[in-house]
Amino acid sequence: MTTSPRPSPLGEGEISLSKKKRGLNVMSFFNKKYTILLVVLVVATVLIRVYFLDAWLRSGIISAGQAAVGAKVEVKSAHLAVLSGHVLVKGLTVGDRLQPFKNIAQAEKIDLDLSTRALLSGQIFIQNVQVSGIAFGTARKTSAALKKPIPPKKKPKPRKPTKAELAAQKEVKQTVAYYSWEAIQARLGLKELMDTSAFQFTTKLNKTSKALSDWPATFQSQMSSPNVGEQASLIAKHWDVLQKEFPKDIMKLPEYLKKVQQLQTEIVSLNHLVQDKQQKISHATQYWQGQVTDLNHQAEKDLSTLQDRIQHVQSMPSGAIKDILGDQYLTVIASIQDKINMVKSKMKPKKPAWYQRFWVKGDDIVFPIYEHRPKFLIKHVQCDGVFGRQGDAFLGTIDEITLQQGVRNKPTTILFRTKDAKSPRQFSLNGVLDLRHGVRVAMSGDAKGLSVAKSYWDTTSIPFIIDKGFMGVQGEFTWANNQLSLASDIQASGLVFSKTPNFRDNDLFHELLNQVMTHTSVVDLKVRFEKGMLSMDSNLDEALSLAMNEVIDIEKQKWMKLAAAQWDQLVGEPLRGVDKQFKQAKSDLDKQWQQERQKVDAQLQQIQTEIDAAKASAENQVKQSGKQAEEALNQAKRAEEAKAQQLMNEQKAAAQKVIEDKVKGLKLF
Amino acid sequence: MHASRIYNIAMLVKTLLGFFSILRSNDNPWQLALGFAIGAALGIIPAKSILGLIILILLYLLNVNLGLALMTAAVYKIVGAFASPLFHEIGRYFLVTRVDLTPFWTALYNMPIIPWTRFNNTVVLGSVVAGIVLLLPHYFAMFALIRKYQTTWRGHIVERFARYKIIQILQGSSWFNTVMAGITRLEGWYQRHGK
Repeated sequence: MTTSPRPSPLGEGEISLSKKKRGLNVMSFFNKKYTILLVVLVVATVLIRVYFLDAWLRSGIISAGQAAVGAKVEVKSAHLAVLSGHVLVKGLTVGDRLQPFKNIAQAEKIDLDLSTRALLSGQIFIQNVQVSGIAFGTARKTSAALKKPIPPKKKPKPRKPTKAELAAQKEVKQTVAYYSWEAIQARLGLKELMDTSAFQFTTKLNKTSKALSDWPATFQSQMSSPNVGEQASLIAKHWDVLQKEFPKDIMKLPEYLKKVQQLQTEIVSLNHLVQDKQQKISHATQYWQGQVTDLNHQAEKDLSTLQDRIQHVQSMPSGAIKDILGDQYLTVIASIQDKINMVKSKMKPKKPAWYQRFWVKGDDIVFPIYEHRPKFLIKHVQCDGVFGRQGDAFLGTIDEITLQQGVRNKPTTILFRTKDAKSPRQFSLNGVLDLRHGVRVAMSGDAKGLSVAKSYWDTTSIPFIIDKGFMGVQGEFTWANNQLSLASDIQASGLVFSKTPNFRDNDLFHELLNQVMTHTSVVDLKVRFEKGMLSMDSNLDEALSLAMNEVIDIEKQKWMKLAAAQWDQLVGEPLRGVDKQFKQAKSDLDKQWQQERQKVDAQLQQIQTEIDAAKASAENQVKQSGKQAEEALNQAKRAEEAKAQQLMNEQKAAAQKVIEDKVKGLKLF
Repeated sequence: MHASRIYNIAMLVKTLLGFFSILRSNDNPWQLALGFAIGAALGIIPAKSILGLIILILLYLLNVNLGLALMTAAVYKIVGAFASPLFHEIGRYFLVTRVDLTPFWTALYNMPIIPWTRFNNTVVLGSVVAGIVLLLPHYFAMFALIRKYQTTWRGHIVERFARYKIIQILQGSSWFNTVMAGITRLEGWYQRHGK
């Protein structure tokens, strides 16, 4: 039986045995390659510390700060003393992303003492932090905008939405549609309100408008037969003829006059015709006047109905607002509540995974740290600087920042206050975070006369900003044993708000907000939350009520304006058109008639004058002829009389002679 | 799939396929046995402790069989996870039950660097204790096994397995070598770009 050499328990076999004879080679235990690499790494680390650590610290603060705020962060210098743990950062400025020529904040010097020994023991112990020269909103000479904006994080590939997400999207779509202006109009019945088809005016208007447009033509055709002008011309022609036929022989004059008389009768009958037509025009005008008046009355009646409808809507403002918000508003609130409950239910501890049933994480047993220090402690932070546009200097201290307050039996305390005790703008903030017996957070603040002017906040989605005003705050906030109690009074006065470009005129809620802002130059808000009961008292409800009324009035005005505009478009304009059409037709007709009538009247007048003149001339002539005839008659009479006298005288003389002869004869006898 | 995960799987495959190669390697038995013992400790001790890192550095510094060590660490990682309740109890015994040790732990707790080992965690301390306690038994047991394998079993095994057609095919075929070379290339690529 052959026996092989027994291997050494140190693991050296046959080859090693031969080496053992020459002595143990320690280096054979080590991997030379990796050992050299480790030594090189250690040396490189030391060199990096010596030459590059401060620069790295500075660039680290800058890049981390820029990534956080999205604007330039500048550090004049940074120094880290590894052995002493002293960190000094000078000239820290943090730019404002939204206002590139402003800084959000700046600090002249940040000085902290970090215990390196504690750090090596896995503890963070900062004895003292001093932040001095803090200022907010200071101006910059150069832009804070980053030349190369920080690339946004890679968007994850869009995943398929879950059923709940799809339902939520659907709900959002429905909600948006539900609150569209058209939908609100429909809910308010504004469309029905403006529905003029139900009004009789439209029907009447259509009928009247058509008839009225035909009226001048129809009327003119009626008026043209018999034609007054033609008749007047005929009379004029007759007269011309008559004039030429004026008799030279007086004996023919009566016959001529008879003809003239006949012409005059024609003139009279023409005058009658004119009067008749005048009357017709008058009647027609009156008729159409009546029609237009009727139309106006109908319009007034319809308008009155419309106003009644508007009045009806106006008389129910709460209903109108309810209609604007709709039942869905409550549904949305309910769904939000559901979602909160869902989130709460999701926040419940999950069931452990299968491997967690046998895998134990273990317990961290905490041992006391010498010098009664917790594992993380910032013993004292001291700040000083200025805030606000007025440059109010402040001082601040925070003591005992730790979560293991029991170790030192001290709570975390915060105290910030105005540096100048005589300043008219004062504030003080006292805070206590006590974790020793449950959790107790108490904050009490007192501030008076602080400017609340808008300075640094992001206005991208705020429809209003506070331009100026003053604010006073007093209050205490306590969280202890899972019980929150809060008592605070906020008073703000002389507030002046202004709209930002985000304000939308058509947004009812923005308008409501606008009214609240307008009616709120003094805000007084008292909030109490004790033993689970929240009570609030403020003048905001009054402002809200006023605002609500104002908004309703504005909405009414809007509706009225809208209704008036639509009414004017649908009724007023056609009505004015008809009225204009009627007046135009009447005016044209009147003008035409007047012209014709003037012409006829002038013609007849002339004829009448001429007739009168002719008549007068004829009468004169007749009179002259009569005189002449009388004279001739008288002459003849006188001649006859003279002749008869002479004859009588001759007969008398003859008789005388006879008598005398007889007498003589008798005498003779 | 994430590059590091592919790398890990590839490494595991490579390690498993290379197991017999390791045993057949010309490394000294102590190198193999020490690699196994340290790998086991690395697997048992949780990665959250700085001790894990120290052991890993030690593994690279010592002239031990790295492949066997990493493979053992992977196996013992799974074993350690299942044994965590036991480690918790061990750690609890030393940290809590043994009150007389408290000043010692307190002193350690206040020393630089030491708290980074997270010795105050029951599972970590339990696993460290187990790792240390099992270090020598692992070493000697593995040393003995390897010696036995190299001197006696290897011949028998080779002889017996050589009869199998599949082994002959595997030994003769190029795909095995191709797969191994591919994994090696993947490893190289990952070290250049993957991290």
